[in-house]
Amino acid sequence: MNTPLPKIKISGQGSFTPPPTPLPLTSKSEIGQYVTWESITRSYAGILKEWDSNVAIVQLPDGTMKAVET
Amino acid sequence: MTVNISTVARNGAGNYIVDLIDIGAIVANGYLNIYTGTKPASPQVAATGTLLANLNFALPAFAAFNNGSAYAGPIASDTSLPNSGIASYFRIFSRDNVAIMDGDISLTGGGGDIQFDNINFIAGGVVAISSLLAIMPQ
Repeated sequence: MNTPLPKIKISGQGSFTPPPTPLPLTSKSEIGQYVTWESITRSYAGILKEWDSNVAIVQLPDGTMKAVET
Repeated sequence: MTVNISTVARNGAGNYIVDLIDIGAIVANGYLNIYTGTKPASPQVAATGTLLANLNFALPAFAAFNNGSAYAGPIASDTSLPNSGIASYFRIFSRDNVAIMDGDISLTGGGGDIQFDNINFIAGGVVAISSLLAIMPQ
């Protein structure tokens, strides 16, 4: 009979802190901020990743990137 | 039937496994990723689901095993999650981006290998791991 050897175990504790309320996206928003803005049809929120001139590149919660003119 | 291994053997086996996290030079530190979805059958299988969080280990990642267990050093939090989703499993990678081990995530008290107070991760939030203990059973 073959008996398997013991397997390593991991025991950890962690926490998740929700993001702060998103700040309105403006030309003064800083990279890394959680920002929100509205289009004609709906509102969005995401992480400001970079500025390309006056266009904000924002990552949405689904991972997609969106360019927003400010 | 069971096989019992000595404390020396437990420490040696445990050190060998966790020291794999420190091997490599592609990235500065081994790291732990958290994903949505079903845990793959083994670390040899590509990760699936949405990447929710990326946390870096210290170097070395774990202290030396003592009496069959070892704690991880300080783990850097992910301070701005790129995606939202329900955290389901984690994968630990070496400094060469090689998957070393997978484990389950659950709410506190839910039996996961790493337990969080909240597994509904939201983009922009912060994920922290306050303690991580590796145990090589007897």
